Amino acid sequence: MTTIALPTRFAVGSNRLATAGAVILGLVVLFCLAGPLAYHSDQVHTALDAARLSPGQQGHPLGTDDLGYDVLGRLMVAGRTSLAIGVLAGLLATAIGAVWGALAGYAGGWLDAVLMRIVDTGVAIPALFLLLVAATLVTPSIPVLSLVIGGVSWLVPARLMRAEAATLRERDFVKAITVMGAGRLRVVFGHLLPNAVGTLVVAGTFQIADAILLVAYVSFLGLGVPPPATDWGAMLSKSITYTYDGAWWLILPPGIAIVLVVCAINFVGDGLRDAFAARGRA
Amino acid sequence: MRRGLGRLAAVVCCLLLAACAGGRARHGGSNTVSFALPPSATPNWILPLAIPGYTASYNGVIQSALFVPLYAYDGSSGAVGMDQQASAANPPVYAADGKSVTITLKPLTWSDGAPVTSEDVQFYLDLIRAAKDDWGAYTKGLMPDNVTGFHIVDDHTFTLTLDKTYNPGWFTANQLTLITPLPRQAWAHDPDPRKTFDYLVAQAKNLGGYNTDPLWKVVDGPYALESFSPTGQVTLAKNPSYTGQDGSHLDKITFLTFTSSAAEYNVLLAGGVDYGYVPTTNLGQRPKLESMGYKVQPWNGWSITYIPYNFNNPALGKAFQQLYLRQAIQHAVDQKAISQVIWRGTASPGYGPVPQDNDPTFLSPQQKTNPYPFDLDTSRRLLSDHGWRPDPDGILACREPDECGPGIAAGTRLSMTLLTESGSDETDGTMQELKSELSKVGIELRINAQPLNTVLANGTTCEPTSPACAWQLSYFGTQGSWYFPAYPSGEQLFATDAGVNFGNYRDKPTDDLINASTLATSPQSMVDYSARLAQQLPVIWMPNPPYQVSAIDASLHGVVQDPMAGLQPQRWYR
Repeated sequence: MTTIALPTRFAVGSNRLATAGAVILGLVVLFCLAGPLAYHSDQVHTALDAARLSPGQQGHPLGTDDLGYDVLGRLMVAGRTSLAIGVLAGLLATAIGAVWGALAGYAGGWLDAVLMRIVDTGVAIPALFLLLVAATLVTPSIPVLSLVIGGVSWLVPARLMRAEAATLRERDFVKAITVMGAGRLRVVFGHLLPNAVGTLVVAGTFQIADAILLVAYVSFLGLGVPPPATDWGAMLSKSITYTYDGAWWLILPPGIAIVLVVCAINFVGDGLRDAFAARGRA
Repeated sequence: MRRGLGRLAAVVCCLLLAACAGGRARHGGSNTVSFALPPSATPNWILPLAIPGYTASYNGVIQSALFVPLYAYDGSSGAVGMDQQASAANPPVYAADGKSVTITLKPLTWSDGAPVTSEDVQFYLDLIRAAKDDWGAYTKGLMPDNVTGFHIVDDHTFTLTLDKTYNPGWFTANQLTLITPLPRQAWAHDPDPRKTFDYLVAQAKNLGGYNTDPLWKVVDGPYALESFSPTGQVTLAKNPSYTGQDGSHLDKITFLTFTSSAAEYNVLLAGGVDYGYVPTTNLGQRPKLESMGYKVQPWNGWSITYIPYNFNNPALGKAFQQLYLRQAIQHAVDQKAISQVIWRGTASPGYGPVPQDNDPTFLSPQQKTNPYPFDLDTSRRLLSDHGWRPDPDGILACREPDECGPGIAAGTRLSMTLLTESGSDETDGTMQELKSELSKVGIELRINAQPLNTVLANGTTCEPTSPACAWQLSYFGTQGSWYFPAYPSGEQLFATDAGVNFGNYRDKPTDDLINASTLATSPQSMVDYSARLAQQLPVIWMPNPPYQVSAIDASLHGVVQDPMAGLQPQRWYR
């Protein structure tokens, strides 16, 4: 028997911030994925004869950067990279953390102690440091950065899931299926994880937001995806040198995009958390 | 959510703090100077013996501060000439027949108290003679092959016998400058000079030993090594035992390392550097720097900048040997746009093997007028005329091997990897531009950015069968690829088997012209050499950037920006 606890209604709709977050997120995703279909720009070839044009010049609504790339088009392409890495890394981190935490919480005893001390050790090492080391060892790409960021971000979900699993372990339905002869893995994957879906969904949204910020950090430090690919952090990093030149159109768009998306995902996460909490109280 | 927003707030706070720190002036005010090394450059060699992979100019700067070269040149006066103060010997005296030269050393002393003698010069020559194939400055037939005899007249005077009559100006500027007296009494590890050479090289490769190994305590220059961090930060202190006429006014100089020009610039804005540089992307901030007490001055070099082809690369070496391919690639380099837009006008296009924006004595009309201007149509035509057709992904592949050239197999694709130095916005931009233009003619360029030392170590001469020959193109020219001695001749760069001929270029007429330039006093052979290599394209000629656009603490005086990339910190004072 599998039991899954879901909110009785989509509580996001009753939370204004969450609704706003969902709308913003939807618009940004639409902008990044469908935008290039409506707004065509060459994001592969440089155009030095059109470098550093201010907004509105020569048909570039948001101007061009130092190599002549159209900023509006680049914002779309960069957004794809940031969102792809964010979603993949966030899901990976949540998945690893969920399994790790569930095993620790359900098993208890020495296995719980060993698994969670590993988590404690990992938390003590700054994720950014690990990311920089990894990014210098391998050539960054979307899959690589997703793996690396996901690989260093699963610790917090593991802690959350471990606490959830330790609680669920004491519930009657878990004891019942254990008495009926269910194996440990079946209990963990068939019952604990599905019943912790609320915790996992909320953790996953925060992980996605964190991963988008992390990839921005890494790219800001020059270790992001190699050009001509780009992401919002890389755009911001390149643009920041033009601060004193007054080239606001290079700095504000990627900066605003990062802030918008991270805030929107966090709003959605908050809404989901409230929704699942309401379900728990019901 | 609080955590995510907290991170955002932290980023904003950091940016604000960094901006505030920009107004805080810490540079100046003491008798020590901090000098910013190029982005991603970390000193890794202080032994004054050139070894391939360790020949970066910043290593040479530290070496010459510790060990006085036999002869030093600089171009700070506007013309390249001998720097007698920085030389260990008085000007050489050539015999009337030009086949011997007598040299008298100045009264210098090693820091262990021993005098610098003729035997210390002989020691150096013995080392490079015993291990010439491992000596980075070696070119067959030249130093040390061209010195057939060494006669010690007295402790401070010796005579070199030469194998033929050389152009004295060239021989002094390009051959005698390769010699640095070494402390024989402290470094002669073994009677066999080959074993001593190997020992010294092994010791020099141990960066951790620079602080403690007694070898490096014996110097005769105006500075002694105070500390050497494996991460590259080096501090030199005034050598109290120095007995020459070029002593240091400063107590210390610290060479600082940075992973990128942006990182260096942030520290510069925070006042943490006395002598740094301004990325050209930040040149708009010149007034701000000047208000902080910095002088902003371009440092132009007696240099050329290029990307070597690896003619021995198993995959593409045969293709690179085809002149039409090199012409097609050169036609795809928009040097004017790169110089004006990416380097903001601080770089100048270069079309050949001699410096173009300084003394025009050796500049040929061919090099001056650019035989291969930016022209993508010509580039495409050259490739299609020689059997290259696009694959479905747009990358050209050889479909007519007879037309592609000997040794090029059918199906060979024009997909090449460029090993380039990291850390510079200008270089990153240049590489993107190059990749972009080459893609338009069907050539795929994959960029592999690495720290400068890695690029220099991996992009060296190699045999086709060696795993070290996997590199195809390399770029190490953020501050200029090659800084010439007084004569911009090519015996180290493009002569067959020359030490810095990284791409293994071989061309008999070029060798002949190089040889002629070393013998004749007339500049004609140099002009012919300039013309030939401008047409033959042994490398991809690239815009020549300034060594750097310097930001120098206004209270620091005596600074001269030598076009030969030398540094004389001993002459700086506050």
